[in-house]
Amino acid sequence: MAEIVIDNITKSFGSFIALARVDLNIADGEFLALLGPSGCGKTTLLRIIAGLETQSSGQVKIGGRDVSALPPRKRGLAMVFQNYAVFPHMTVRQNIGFGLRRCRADRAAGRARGGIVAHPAQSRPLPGTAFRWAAPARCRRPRIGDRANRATDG
Amino acid sequence: MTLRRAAFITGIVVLCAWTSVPIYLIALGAVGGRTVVNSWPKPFLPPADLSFGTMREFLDISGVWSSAFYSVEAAVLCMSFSILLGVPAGYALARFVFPGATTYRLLIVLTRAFPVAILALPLTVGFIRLGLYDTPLGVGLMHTTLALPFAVLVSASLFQAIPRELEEAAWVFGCSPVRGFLWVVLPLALPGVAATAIFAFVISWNEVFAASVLTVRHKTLTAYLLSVLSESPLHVQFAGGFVLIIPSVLFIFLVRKRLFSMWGIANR
Repeated sequence: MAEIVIDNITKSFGSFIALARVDLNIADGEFLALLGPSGCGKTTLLRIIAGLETQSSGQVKIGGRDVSALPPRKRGLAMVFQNYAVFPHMTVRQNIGFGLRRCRADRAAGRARGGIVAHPAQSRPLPGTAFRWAAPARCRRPRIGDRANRATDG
Repeated sequence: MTLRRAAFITGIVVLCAWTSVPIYLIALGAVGGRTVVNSWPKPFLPPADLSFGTMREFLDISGVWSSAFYSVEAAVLCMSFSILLGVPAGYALARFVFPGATTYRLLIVLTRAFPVAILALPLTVGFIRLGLYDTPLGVGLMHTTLALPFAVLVSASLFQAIPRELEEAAWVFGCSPVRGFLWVVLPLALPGVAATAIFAFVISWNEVFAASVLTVRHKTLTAYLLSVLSESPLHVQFAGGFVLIIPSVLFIFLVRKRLFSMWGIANR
């Protein structure tokens, strides 16, 4: 867990301004939902936090560290994508262990976590519903998500 | 509904006949010997005295084995070049927005606009200068230019079918772009890449014009057969044709499953 600070972020695509000087503090352990009509910049802000998009100006800090210029892999985040983005060629276990293994925290931990959450379908290729459960389960913290509740509700 | 079903089944039957009847007739001529080749109507079932004498006769023609080897050599080279150059180009076309991308796409197709017949003489002269004339490497390079446009465009559509989000997920979960490609994109694209590779192989294996122009003593199988078979009896020609078909048919059977799984991904 870590605090996320968004400091004066602006993002423009050409002449279109998607985000104008956004400030946001998300405390350690806080559960925060961004609400707004489509096209208002929720996803853009999320992608900037994750490092998938580069802000035009401003800073992103995670746990007191300025990550504004870091690539996504060095930010230590986890993300539930809008369409889950669960890897279809891996089992549920492999999907859940993916992030843990990649950060080299602990290969065994990655396997253990995959084993617990994914037990019913652990070694089969992903069936439809398992997609929705694997997406949030593979996340390390801090966790951000685009319509993340969609993944587990309903 | 039943009408649609009937049309569907008719379509399948016609398609099957379209591909299998010529193959069957060639096979029949290859194993049936002189009598079957000259008989009419053709027997529906292969003759009882199925003989591989004709096939053996064909395979005993001097130079067939070595030219088959040159063919394989050129085809493997063509396949490797097409994949090594075509897959990265396809990835770039699918994922990056760069100035001139549309023109680039058009240029790729335009490479097929020049008839090989026009290029034959300059190519021969150039290859002689470079020391590539009459070598499998030269033929492989020539065939790469034929197969590469397909490799680029097919792999581009392959990568387009793989959601960008999967790659982004890999980056967020700790992969560098290269690792993300190797662990997430490539496994998903692999069936299609394999199919592309085999397609390149078959293009090279089947190509006859450039191969006959660019070689003299190290002729590929098609070029060699073109020069030798015109003087052989008909049933031996059938045997030669059958041998030429075998690799293509075998390869398609080998990648059948992979082809289906490629379409499965594209449909998701």
